[in-house]
Amino acid sequence: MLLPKRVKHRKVHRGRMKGRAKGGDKINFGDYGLQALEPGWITNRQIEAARIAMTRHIKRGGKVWINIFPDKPVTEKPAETRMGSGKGSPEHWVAVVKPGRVLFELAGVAEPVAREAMRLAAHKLPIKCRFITREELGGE
Amino acid sequence: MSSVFEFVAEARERPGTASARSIRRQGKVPAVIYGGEDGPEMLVLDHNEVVKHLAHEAVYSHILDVVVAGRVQKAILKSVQRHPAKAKVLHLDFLRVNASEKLKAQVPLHFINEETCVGAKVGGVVMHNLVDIEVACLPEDLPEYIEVDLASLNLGESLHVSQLSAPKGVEFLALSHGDDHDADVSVVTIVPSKVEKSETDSETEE
Repeated sequence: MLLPKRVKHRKVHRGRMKGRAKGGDKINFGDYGLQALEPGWITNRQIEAARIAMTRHIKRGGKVWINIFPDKPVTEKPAETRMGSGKGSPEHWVAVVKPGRVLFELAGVAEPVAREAMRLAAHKLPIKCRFITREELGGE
Repeated sequence: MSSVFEFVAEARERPGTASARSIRRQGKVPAVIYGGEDGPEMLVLDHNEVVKHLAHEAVYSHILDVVVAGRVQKAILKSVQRHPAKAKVLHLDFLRVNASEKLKAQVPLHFINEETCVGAKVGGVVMHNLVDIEVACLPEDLPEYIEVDLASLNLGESLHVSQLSAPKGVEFLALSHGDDHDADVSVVTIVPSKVEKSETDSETEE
């Protein structure tokens, strides 16, 4: 599963997710992509589940790119703990995603296969997504 | 070139973000045309018309007619700004062209014999490293697309920019920098198909 090797700060603030993707909103490597339509946190488990769903569907052939990386630690307090006594411990890692961000890219398969693979992947994610092709975005 | 794209525009008076936003709210697209001997002009176009034109691949590598107040100006589409998440065009840049001056433009690559090439028959996957290429040519020579024939490409082999055949009067900019620059990049590669490790592992578990 994806997670940083080393971080500067173990715990970070939650932050805000206003606005739309500042970059990474185009297909750069593959022919098809899965684009986020909502802001959200995507955990490394969800990314892995989506990747597995995609690679299982395309079977042999094709190549998958993951364009997001879960570099934000999320802390949790243990169950049945009274409030106070400091912040909880880091439990998992998330990638912050804003509308427009291309999450996954795919190449080397026919469009119907890519579309279905992306649909299966999107079901593993906590946000609304859409399937895009390079032509739609104006890339030739 | 067979088809001609005509963009009918009106002149735009006020510059700036606020003005551009109000134009977008009216279902229009702010644009600018520059280059050549005339100065830059700010334009407004109808959004739906623009979207219709942009649906054609040829519009990105074509000499366009930009009609402003009845005056036709020849231009290429230099850049398109789109909304990152919605199917909206935010802004267009047109670059005026001069018939006697060479222009630089991005031309799409069309890959032919992709499924039937030697490498694909033995289970390889065609990876496109470039999908368009920057060319320099006179406006009349600007190709709509450049064909890349993959028929003889075997597994593990790549096709480089220097191996592409340029149409008459067209020069690939990547190769115009001389031998000192390592610009002869790979256009397409046939890579062996890989089965994901985790997939086989999890299947055996099941």
